[in-house]
Amino acid sequence: MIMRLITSRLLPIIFLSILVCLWELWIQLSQTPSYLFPAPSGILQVVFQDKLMLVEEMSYTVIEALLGLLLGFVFAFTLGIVSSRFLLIEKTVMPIAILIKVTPIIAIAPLFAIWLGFGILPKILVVSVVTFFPILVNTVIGLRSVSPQTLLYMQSLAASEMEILWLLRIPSSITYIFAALKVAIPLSIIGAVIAEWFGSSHGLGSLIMVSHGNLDMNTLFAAIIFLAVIGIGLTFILGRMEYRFARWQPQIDSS
Amino acid sequence: MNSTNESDTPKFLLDAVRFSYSDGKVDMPVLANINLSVDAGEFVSLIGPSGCGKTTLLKLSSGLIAPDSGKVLFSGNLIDIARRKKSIALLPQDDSLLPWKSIVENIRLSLKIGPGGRRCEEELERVQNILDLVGLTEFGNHFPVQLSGGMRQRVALARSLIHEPGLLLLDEPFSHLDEVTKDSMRNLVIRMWEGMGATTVMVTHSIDDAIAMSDRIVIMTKRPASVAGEVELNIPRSKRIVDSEVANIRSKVRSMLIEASL
Repeated sequence: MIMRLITSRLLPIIFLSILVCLWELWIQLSQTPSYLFPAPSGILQVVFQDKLMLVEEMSYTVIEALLGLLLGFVFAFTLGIVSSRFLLIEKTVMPIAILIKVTPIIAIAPLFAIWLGFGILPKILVVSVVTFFPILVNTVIGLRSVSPQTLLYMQSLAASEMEILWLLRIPSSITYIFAALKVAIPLSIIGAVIAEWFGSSHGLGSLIMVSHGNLDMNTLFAAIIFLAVIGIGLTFILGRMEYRFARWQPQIDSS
Repeated sequence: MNSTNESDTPKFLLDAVRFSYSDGKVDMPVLANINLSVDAGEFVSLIGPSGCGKTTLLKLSSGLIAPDSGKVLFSGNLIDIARRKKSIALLPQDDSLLPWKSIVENIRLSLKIGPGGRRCEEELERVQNILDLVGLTEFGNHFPVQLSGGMRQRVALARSLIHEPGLLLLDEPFSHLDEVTKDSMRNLVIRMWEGMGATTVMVTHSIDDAIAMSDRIVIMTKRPASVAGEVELNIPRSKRIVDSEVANIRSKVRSMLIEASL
């Protein structure tokens, strides 16, 4: 038990600490200037000194990422339900969805700023565009991945399409949807940051652009650390939600 | 034959049923000409070569697909009407329980879904009674993953029987079970069938299952399937394990099955 705890929790922390120490040592010995490569001590100093500013900028990015993810999810899930039921709609929608997927978001993001201005709306839309595809695909696959025997059983009881959808297809697709969300969460943060690069005075993406312009690598790295914190935090919350909603699956681990 | 419901009119009837699968270009005939009459309360087993169309026949019998020609009737009505009245229960090959629902919720599902689905709390008592009958009183709040294969199959049986169907269709229900569990499941199915008197059709590969449980065994030919012959079992079920006549029946069914496969 103790050994398992050490391997699963402590080893990554110990490994990361060693890497940070080696990084610090390398910077100090090589006298590398901070505008080229900052030392961990300099980054930590910024994190503690400017923590309120960093938390405020992080809150903008988190809100954009979450609202965009929510919008992308609602749209993709609804379309997934309709597409899984009607092959014609799937054949119509999928090529367009693939077209959006293969177009780099960095090429689309400026258009949203031009069309919709510099407020929160274009950022939310950029995030919803990048998160839309994995959720749509997994929803369609999940809704179709029902046990044929269970489907047969429900049909033999004259269950309606709505009952089959609600009682069988949607619960069967839960694991596929969580798998999609695990991909969509990092994408939502990427989308929010890219959207902030094009015309925003708030958010960690904007902070990265400003710090880059000022050659303030300590703040830039601090912003990156806060982005990592968002990713880890959202993934952790998702893990808890998956444990709550799919705990009937033997392989789901709360950690 | 079970005499709980004597009637001159066949309760369940397959009348000159033909069925083909089509890929849009070529028709693949599965059932050539099936005529089968099952009396009210009778237990009939269908046995035939692998891939002869037994499961297709079961789908036709439950009204999930329609025959190309011929009729499937239950109590004088087209089978689809019986399905909509929830007069049919299907016990699939695997237990088909919903893993995200507890045992009680899985069984209640049969009452909730379909036309006239019931949602009242009194049904819980009914679920508890049927759990007692299948010997799983203590397991109502467990999830399927926490139960053994045999226990899950007992839950599936309870779920199939809770809405008191007139026609019970069994699709190789013991194929995933070990010998000991299979024996106890056979006894349980027979006990519950005798209690309810449902007209029962079981599709099976196992001659032993068919002999142990049925009033009559119907042998099907290879695809496109028709009825090759049938064997009546007039020996009480309790004596079928020891009776020397059973060996003759087994041998007769086996030779008919081999002949039908050629």
